[in-house]
Amino acid sequence: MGMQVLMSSKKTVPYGLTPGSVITGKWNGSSYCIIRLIGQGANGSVFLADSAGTQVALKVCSHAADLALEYKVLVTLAKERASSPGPRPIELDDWVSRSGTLFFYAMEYIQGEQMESFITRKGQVWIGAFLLQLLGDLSDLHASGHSFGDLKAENLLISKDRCRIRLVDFGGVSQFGKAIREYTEWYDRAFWNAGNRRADIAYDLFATAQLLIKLSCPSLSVSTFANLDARRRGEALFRQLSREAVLQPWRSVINKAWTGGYSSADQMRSDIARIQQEWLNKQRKSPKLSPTQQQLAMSVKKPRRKWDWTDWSILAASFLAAAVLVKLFGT
Amino acid sequence: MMWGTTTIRQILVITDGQANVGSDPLEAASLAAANGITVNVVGIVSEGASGIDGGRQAHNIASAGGGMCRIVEMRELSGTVQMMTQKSMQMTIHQVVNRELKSIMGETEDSLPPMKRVQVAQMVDQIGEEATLQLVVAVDVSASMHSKLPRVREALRELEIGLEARSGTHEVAVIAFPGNNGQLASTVCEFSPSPDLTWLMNDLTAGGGTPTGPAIEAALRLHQERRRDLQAHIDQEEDGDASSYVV
Ligand SMILES: Nc1ncnc2c1ncn2[C@@H]1O[C@H](COP(=O)(O)OP(=O)(O)OP(=O)(O)O)[C@@H](O)[C@H]1O
Repeated sequence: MGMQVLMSSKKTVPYGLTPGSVITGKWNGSSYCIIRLIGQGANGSVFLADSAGTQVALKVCSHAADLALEYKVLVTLAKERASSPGPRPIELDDWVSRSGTLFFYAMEYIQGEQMESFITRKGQVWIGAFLLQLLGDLSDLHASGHSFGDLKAENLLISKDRCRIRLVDFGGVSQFGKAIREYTEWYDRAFWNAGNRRADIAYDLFATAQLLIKLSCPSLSVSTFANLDARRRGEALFRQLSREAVLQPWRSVINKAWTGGYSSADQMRSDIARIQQEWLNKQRKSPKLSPTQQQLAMSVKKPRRKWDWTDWSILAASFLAAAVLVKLFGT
Repeated sequence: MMWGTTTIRQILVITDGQANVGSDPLEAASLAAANGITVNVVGIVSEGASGIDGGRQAHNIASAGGGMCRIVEMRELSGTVQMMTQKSMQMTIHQVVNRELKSIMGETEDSLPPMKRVQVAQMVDQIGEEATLQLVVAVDVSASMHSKLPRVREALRELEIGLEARSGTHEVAVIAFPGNNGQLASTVCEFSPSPDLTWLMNDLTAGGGTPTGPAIEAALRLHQERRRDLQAHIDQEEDGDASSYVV
């Protein structure tokens, strides 16, 4: 094998796959028509594609082995549980393109919004609710002897259909005791000198705490800390965090996750549930909250069911009644 | 197969410019490759610049050394060093596995059906996790690099963390070029699982030249000496059926 040049700059159209391009698998013969590029990462590109009328996601990559391992993880997790937190795997195949063989797998397309933008849009009150879901998923993954590894906001989608958190990018999933396969500095325990980079339960829980911080204080950036000596980074971060009022309720959880104080995702989950509950009780009593904010606060505990036609017809009827009353008794 | 004791040897060159003193770095790199040692190169560009002086050369060195090349900005250095070392190990193992597959079945990994390939990938992954890594890092300490050395040190520390997480053992040695006392390159840390990097901060008085070729040669010599030492050690223990599979 010759030199492998890793480009820093990303090409605009990866692998020349423009909308309308068709990929046909060499082994299984299925065809996929590219709809658009969804995402591009260090290990490949993800496309939305049409497969006989169904929308699927395709991950395309020029390196066969990493892709094969990632696919295998998805298959294993899908087998173990009826509803995997990740996308359902469809097939792994090769595509012989004009410029050489490329490797791809097809998976369920998760229609949703990136967690960060969801929170920005809907408010931080949702953070706790999604962390509870996430920790439930992590707990299942841990039961199978794996860390998720590369846990980060970009790898979390909020599905449109069920308002449920879903994980994508299983390239970092690592067996307990082995080296973490992929990581991102902000979420990496070793970067902050808070432990090693070996897969265990606490590694993911540390990343969850970092996610909580990132979502609560989006202006914090890893580059502020990258220039510091690793041993100073934690200290510097906590100095900044002490000024953040939004983090006040979460302080104990963050500390515990940072110091490896949780031995299971469920422990962290119940701590978050408790804090969430206390916070809600306080908010409900607080008169400062606007009605919509109060409603949002309530909705975290008990998700509001969607308005259906009955709600609308009741609303319409009451408007109508009001109009009639105004007509009758007005003037 | 006796994969448990697979040893992988690498040279990692960290530089920010064109080689301009001493022997040809391409020749040195291909000599290393011929000795089963992979040469990887990281070129550092200043913020916003599109390339470095000698970027093409960096790619060519890596190509001759059978390794990878990446041109990055300072802030990407840590991640790159770590990722390249890991990826390059996997690549070496893939090459060996492919040679074996070819000789056994007349096929390479990429021509296997996808689900068979998954099995090979899992095996390679396991070998990579358990293999012994011997790495010589050759750091350019010419004048323009001085302000960058703290970050280089940080990157090597990060690398150590990554290597520590594996189940396999590792040893890292460090060479500085140009070296002390008018030498073109000198060893500043002997092979060690956690090399002492304090020297990277202190009084480096190196002059302007960039003797990349001699640095790669010195790294190659270091590897060969280490290999001989370890071999002598094995012979001493009269381990007749040496099961080590040297890549
Ligand atoms: N099944 C899916 N459904 C919908 N969107 C997806 C799916 N898989 C991936 N994506 C989107 O594509 C992006 C890139 O995918 P992914 O993270 O798997 O690529 P990667 O090359 O591994 O990237 P990274 O460098 O982050 O590791 C994701 O952030 C996500 O937004």
